[in-house]
Amino acid sequence: MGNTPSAPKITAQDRAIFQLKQQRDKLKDYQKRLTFVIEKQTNLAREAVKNGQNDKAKFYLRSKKQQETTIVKTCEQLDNLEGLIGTIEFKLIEKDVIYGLEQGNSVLKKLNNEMKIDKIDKILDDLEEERIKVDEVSDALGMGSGLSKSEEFEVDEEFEKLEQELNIVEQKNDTQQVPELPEVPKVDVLPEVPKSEIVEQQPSRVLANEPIAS
Amino acid sequence: MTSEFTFPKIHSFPPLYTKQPNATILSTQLDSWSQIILQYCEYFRITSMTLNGTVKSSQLVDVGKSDSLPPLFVNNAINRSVSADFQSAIFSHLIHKVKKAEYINPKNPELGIYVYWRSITEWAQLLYDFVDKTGQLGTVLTLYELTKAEDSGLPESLRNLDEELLVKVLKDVLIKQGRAQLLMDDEGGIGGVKIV
Repeated sequence: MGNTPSAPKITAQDRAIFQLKQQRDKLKDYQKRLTFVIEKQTNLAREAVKNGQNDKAKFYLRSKKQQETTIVKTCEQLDNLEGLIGTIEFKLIEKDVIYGLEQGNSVLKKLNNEMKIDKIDKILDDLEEERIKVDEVSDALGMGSGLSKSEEFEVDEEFEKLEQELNIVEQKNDTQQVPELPEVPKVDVLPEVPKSEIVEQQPSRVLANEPIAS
Repeated sequence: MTSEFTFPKIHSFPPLYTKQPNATILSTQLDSWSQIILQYCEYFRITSMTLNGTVKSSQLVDVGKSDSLPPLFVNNAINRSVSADFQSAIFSHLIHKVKKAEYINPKNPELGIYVYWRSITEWAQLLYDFVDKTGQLGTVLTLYELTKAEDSGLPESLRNLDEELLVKVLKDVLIKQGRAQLLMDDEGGIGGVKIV
């Protein structure tokens, strides 16, 4: 059905690993079985010794020994299987890494192709040419930046002069700061104005009586 | 540890063992039984039961094969037991009303029921978390590895899970979500799974 989410794909490698793992599981089960048998035989041997049946006891012990060596063998096989599984899984990862490297490499190549040196040189040359053309056109129209180079230089000079002046003025202002003044007295010190009118003496008259040349 | 389980007090309440005629009381009674079953199963980690209340599969090795469990539907101390009829009524209540159980095979209810003290979605989440945490997403895992193997680093909560239930969890949750794909073994049974 279309509305079920797509199931993860099982690849051939998955299947191979799966089969190996199944073998491994079977071996593990086999080991469990053998361990159980060994336990049983040990008990039987003990029983037999108790009952004085030495032959029987030896038979059990021999058979037990055999199972034990089989277990050792299966352990080796298990090791092999696990090793193989590990190798396959690692190879798969290596494959992925190589695929990633390949992809990255091809992208890098593509990008490098787009950025060949002569191509860039040509683009820069073109750019310069176009700029010159623009300048030419503006010169022809008498626009440019409006001023010649020497004029620009003069403007800069004047600007610097102004700046310096401004700096000097500022420095002066700094040094000419008003020294501290005494506080203004808070009480009125002026005598009150007399209310009665005072006849104003005319000092000019006194002065007039004096000789002009003293 | 199997003997430490104590039933809730109501398990020693004689009327609990007889089907009550009053509908309201019956419904409460069935709820009580459902709770008892869920507690019982969670304690002994029983994931499926037969229809007469015996263990079908449990994560604890010694629970499955021994008779050491206190019986669920029998209380010898008060000399009471639940009749077979009432047992199936209780299970039916657990399945259809409480929705914490399901027939293993709806076409053949005799096969027993799964008891969901942990829902299958929760089981799926546990499993997925384990696979994710151990960096095994995208690799093939055998069911053996996911249930029995001692050296696969399975957390206690997942160990020894009934394979039937595991397959159900995979099929009903993870495959439906598009996160798993089953692999068949040589005999055509389900042998492994790839979880992504």
